[in-house]
Amino acid sequence: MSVDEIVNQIHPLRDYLVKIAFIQLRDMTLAEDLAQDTMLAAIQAADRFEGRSKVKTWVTSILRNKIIDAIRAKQRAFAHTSIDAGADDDFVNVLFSDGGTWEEKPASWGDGEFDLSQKQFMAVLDICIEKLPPNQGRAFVMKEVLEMGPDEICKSLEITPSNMWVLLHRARLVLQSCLDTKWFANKRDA
Amino acid sequence: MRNCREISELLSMAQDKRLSFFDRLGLRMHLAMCDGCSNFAKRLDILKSAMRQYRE
Repeated sequence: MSVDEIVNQIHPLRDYLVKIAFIQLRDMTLAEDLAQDTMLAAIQAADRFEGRSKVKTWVTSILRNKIIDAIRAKQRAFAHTSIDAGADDDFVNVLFSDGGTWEEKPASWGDGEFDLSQKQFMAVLDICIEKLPPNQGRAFVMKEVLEMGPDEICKSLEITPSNMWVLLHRARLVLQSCLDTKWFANKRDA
Repeated sequence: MRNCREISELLSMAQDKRLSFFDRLGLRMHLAMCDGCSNFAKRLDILKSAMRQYRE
């Protein structure tokens, strides 16, 4: 891949980078700055891109480092002074009875190969991720998009491992429920 | 015996780290008789693939 081609692939990633940075920092100006810095750094280093990973993966890894630095820089002002893993409990409590059984059993999303590459589905997923409660969104995106390890996530969010597992679990319950309502339920009725 | 809520927590955790033998055994026994949790487990895998697609 030529440097020109790489640069052309970096430009369309802007919205994606802003969104991921915003979920982490909840500050649009800062998120836009980080996305800009990331693209600039990637373009400047384009001739060193080795092509072992996809351009998006590589650019995301640059963003990850910028996010970690930014979180560290505004450590004190940031909401994680009191990240409370149980704060979004209400939704989860609705899903389970007092005895811990499903109030409504999760329906099947089908056993066949489901075509995840559908643009519409990815757009719905995008909306559901953005709608996650802030702390769940942070933890989940760190894990699944920025591909940070558990230790790194705990350190960045200043939470204990058990709080992190709770946040990730809640995020997955909320996401499943969102995807079910906004996508799979329609497919079942169709 | 673990309830569905606890099983769903274990299933979610299993996405990110290897569970103990005891936990895996408990999961398998529960999943064999609970289709709600079985569906939840399959949906977790679909979500995982979807997130791979999302970041690529």
